[in-house]
Amino acid sequence: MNHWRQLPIPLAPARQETLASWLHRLATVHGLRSSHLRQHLRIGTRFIDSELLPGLPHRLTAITGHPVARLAWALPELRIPAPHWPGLRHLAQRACPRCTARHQGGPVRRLFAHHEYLCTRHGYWTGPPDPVNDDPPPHLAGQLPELVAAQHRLRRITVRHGWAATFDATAAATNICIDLRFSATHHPLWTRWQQRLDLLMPAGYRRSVFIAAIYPEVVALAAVLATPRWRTAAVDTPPAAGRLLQAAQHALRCTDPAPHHDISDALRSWTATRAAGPLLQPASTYPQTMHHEDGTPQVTDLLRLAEQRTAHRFSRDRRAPRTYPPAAAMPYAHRPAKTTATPAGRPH
Amino acid sequence: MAVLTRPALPRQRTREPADDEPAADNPLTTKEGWRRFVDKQPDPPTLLAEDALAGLDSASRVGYDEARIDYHADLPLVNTPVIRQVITSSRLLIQLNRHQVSARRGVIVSGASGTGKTTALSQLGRAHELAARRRHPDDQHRLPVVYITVPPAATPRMVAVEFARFFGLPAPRSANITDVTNAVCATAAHTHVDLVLVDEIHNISLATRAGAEVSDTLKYFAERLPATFVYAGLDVDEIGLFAGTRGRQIAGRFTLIPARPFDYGTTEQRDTWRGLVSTMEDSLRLHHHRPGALTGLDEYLYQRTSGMIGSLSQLVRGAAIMAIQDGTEQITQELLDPVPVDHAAQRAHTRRPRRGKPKAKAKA
Repeated sequence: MNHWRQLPIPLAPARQETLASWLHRLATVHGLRSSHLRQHLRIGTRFIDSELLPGLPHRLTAITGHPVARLAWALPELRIPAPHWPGLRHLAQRACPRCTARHQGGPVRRLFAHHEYLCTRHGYWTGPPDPVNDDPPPHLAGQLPELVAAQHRLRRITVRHGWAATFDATAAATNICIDLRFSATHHPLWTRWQQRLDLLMPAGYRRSVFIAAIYPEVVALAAVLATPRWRTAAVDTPPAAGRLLQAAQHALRCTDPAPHHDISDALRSWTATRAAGPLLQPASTYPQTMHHEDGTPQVTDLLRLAEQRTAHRFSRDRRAPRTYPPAAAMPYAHRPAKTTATPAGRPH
Repeated sequence: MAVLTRPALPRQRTREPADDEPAADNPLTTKEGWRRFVDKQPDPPTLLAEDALAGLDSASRVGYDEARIDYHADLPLVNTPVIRQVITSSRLLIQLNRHQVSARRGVIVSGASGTGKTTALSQLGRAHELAARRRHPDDQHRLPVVYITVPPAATPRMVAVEFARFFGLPAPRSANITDVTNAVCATAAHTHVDLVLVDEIHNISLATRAGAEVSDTLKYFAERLPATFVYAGLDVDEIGLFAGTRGRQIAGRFTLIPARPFDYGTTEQRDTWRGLVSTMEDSLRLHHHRPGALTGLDEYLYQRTSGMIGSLSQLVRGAAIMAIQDGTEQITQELLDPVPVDHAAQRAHTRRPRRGKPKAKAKA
């Protein structure tokens, strides 16, 4: 008897969905355990490298009836050659529930590009991953409409400067804004962000929702920092630094109240250490991270504890999340690019 | 208006599967085999006129005859009284059970071998599935009917695996019966199963512990699946299916439809038998067969088959194939004589005193 028979309910994968998520949904609608379905397909729980498992796409086609090309179009792990993993976030996240409403079997978990913070069509926040919380994407655009304009702007920045420069600029802008939020209680930005936090996160702490509160300013500042003219060594000179400060203040729609120099100080740190150096890159890629059979990221107890401490610290003054190791610094893992490149998509 | 184009699909290397799979085996107890059975619509071949037949070359003639042989080997089924009763009763119960949350009623078709139990069961399923497809033409993944057989020496897990096997669900050794049952029930709910056909029910013996557990397993499925269950088996009453506590519960929920051989006593019974033979004769596609000739042999056919519909079908189909192969293109008693029938019918035929012309009395 043919071992690979088609399942009765051949769910189609969603765009950019992870293999684990799709298999979990397939198992769920059939009442199967994910482990049994994986066992049937002769695959384990680690990252699937389709070049090392050449028969897998055909087995998936046999049990679902979907052509190999269709599956590879939807599932990044099945593509040959492999996608550019550094351009995607390293953790799978829940997709916009409206975009994936027709997909049965539970939430769709997919890989987002670094600049995809918001579904502009439906207003659901798909910001940086929050590995210790498996919350569905909140509908924040209804409460904060400026998120939509900010997302469109970030997309334009990515198109203009490329994902790497945009990632670098966004990471730097996020750090600058967090520093301002933490230290500059007298700053006009503080009031603006406080109102947003009271609106979006009146109680508790969610790393990703905090980012949403500062997101419009992060994007505005990232638009400045991504510009190549500010990425030269000359930016550290007083005249250039002054022009950069003006551009940043214009982007943030506020100036430092006298006699403070908060924005200036934050930019100085950036110009001194990062401006002319190599671009920041994600510290980890999807193939290097572990996920459960249902597609959720595996989280160590140490990381969970670190996040709890961060949340507890935040709840005291609601300033900014101070991260404790091994919790990743904002936005969610970045480090300066190494001089020797590692092959993309290959686990370390 | 801008035309949205789908992004080009990533180029894929075509790789052969790592292991060569054998050809698919899709019996009636798999959804693929069941679907093929339901979709099958026998198309009677058109008999060519004599001149057209004479004009065929040898290869075409062989192909023409082969097509007719294939057709006669799978002659369209006759709608017997048992089939009609099973379909009518079961479809009524399906409607009655539709909104029942528990204690749904079912049907048991019981009788000797060759009386058309499996045929009645499969025809019921086919009729129900075709009706469901007409009501829901857009639902491509609907599986309104499940057909399984109880394996010999069955255990509860084996029965659950039979359900899973119909659906094509994986049931690895690490999966326990609860896992398999949950998978079957979840899949059945998603595919809107509302008729479950269980054949070979005589393989369950309520007198043994394993048999009792299998009976309990079927009852459990009957409670979890919002479907009507129809069983078929050999003389289930005689094997004790209705004995004991479990048997009494089965007897209290299932309608028994006996599948018996046709009788040939009263005028009405003979007319029924004759009508059956006539319907089969109408479906023949032989060039020189005289209409009514087979119906005229109704008594002979009854004696040969002891009224068993299965034996009659074998006899007529076999004779039709022989008529094509030897070129006579007609069924006569001489052609029917050498066609083999099953042992039970043959034994009954040899034991029965032959009705023929009485011997002439010796003159005093």
